[in-house]
Amino acid sequence: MDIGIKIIMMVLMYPTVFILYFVLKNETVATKNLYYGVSLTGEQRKSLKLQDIDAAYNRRMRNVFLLMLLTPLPAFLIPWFSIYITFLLVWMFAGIIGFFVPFARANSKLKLLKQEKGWKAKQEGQFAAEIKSAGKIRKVKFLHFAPPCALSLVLLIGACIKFYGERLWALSLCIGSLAFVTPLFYAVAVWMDKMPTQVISTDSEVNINYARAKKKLWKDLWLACAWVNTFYTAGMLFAVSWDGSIGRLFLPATAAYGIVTIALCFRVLKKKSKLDHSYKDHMDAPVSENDNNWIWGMFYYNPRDKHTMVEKRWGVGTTVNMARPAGKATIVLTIVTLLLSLYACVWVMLLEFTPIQLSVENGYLQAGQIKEDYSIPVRSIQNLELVEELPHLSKVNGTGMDNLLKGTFRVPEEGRCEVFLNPQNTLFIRFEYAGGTYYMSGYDDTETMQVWEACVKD
Amino acid sequence: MVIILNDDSDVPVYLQIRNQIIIGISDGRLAPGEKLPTVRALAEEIGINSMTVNKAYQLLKQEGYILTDKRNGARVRESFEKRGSLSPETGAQLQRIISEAKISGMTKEAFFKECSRYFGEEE
Repeated sequence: MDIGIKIIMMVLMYPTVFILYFVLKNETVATKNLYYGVSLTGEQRKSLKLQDIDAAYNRRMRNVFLLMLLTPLPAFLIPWFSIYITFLLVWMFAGIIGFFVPFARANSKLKLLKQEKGWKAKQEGQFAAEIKSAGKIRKVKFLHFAPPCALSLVLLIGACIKFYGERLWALSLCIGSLAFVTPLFYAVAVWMDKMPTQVISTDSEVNINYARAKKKLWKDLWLACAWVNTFYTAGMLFAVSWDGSIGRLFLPATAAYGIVTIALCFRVLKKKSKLDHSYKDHMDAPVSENDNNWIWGMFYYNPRDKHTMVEKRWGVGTTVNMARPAGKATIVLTIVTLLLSLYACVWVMLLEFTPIQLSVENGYLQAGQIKEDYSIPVRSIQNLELVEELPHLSKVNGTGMDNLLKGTFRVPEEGRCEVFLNPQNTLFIRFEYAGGTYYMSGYDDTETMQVWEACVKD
Repeated sequence: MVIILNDDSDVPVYLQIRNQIIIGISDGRLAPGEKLPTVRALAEEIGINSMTVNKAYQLLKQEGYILTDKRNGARVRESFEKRGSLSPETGAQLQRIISEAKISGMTKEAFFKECSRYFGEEE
């Protein structure tokens, strides 16, 4: 496996560790009367011995951070693509869970302390709402998002027209999906813009100004993401149009896309932190004490609250109310994504470790791996030849690994062709059938040679 | 204007909204003639059903605190009927509150002091 690809993939996933660590480690600093997602007033905080909880939290966070920082390094030695990608995925999921465990433990401990002190019931169920600004503070305007959305639509239509003629459905679908993300950013921006005004102060003007500034931050982020995605889509479409495949530019472009998006997120985090700091002295509003609606201080579940999205109790941003249909859909989607990722890893492992088989049986050339991929009548094969060197193959759709090339590829002077071979071999067969060109090989050169002889004999 | 509501209270949410708006009008946080949010916007802001807000607005209109019309939405009235006395329902509520204060051992002076605080006459 190419070390460059390994580095690019690592660059895409490594920042998760830093983002989670730096966002969550700030939880030891109480903001808006929240401490590890538990509502506590200044007096309550002073009367509790929180040093022990803080020390345990910091120690656990540091351990997870170091573990997450160091474990991917030996992975560079893994030569198999499927094992490497599975390792990275497991590492990322483990990291996400790992970082939240200390937070969940600190939250549970603090809730218990609060219960022991009898502070829990006083304002349970109470919440504040700012009515002067209801439905008025909106920063997202369609006109701002119209240019990237329109450009994405043009790219989508362009991709459909271009690939329709060449029957490159997979590429069309790929570019189409990328283009579709831009209006999706707009939809998310609109959704977040409808968030209720967070009550941080008893002064309405403060609440309104804070909400305006915060909504502008989010609008700017989603707008920037919409533009970045449009440029990425345009870049991919350009690359595909250039050499008919998505392979060569895909990873570097995706890495650049990932880095820019992460940089934008960091910018928002920094600006939000600055904003909170500037309003710190005005944050005198009582915090909603519905601690029981927050599972581990992270997941919000309140069937009585009709809000789909609410302000998070940790870090920056919003979270969904899991009691609402959209919240339930998010849970299902997360589980499905996790299962699909695991399924994809198992599938890639099967592809990498299951040897390809090429044989001639009952007058048919049969090629298969896991299942039968091709069955071609030998008598219909034309221009059969044995080749020792493969031409340059660009993947259109299919699988491309160190020991497996399978699917539709593009050869510079021949155009599209079907490929089913082990590129580590030195012998391959090339033939034409039903107007198409095929490159095939067996598991090794011996198998290829046997098939070649059987075909010639027939 | 910030309103504080309580999900666990025995008082229905529409009454809590109505009470908070009356408090807002009396202490000047809601000015005479000030436009109130639409039923839908307020329901979305608080995270409750539109019917609940509608019920609160209807009650406020009925009691003469706000005016509503389809074109302009809801507004605080420019002037209020100066009856100089409490309505029979509010009078009954006050009687209940005084009874509770008496049972809890609160003196008349302490009670009046508390009343003055809510009247905005004393710190």
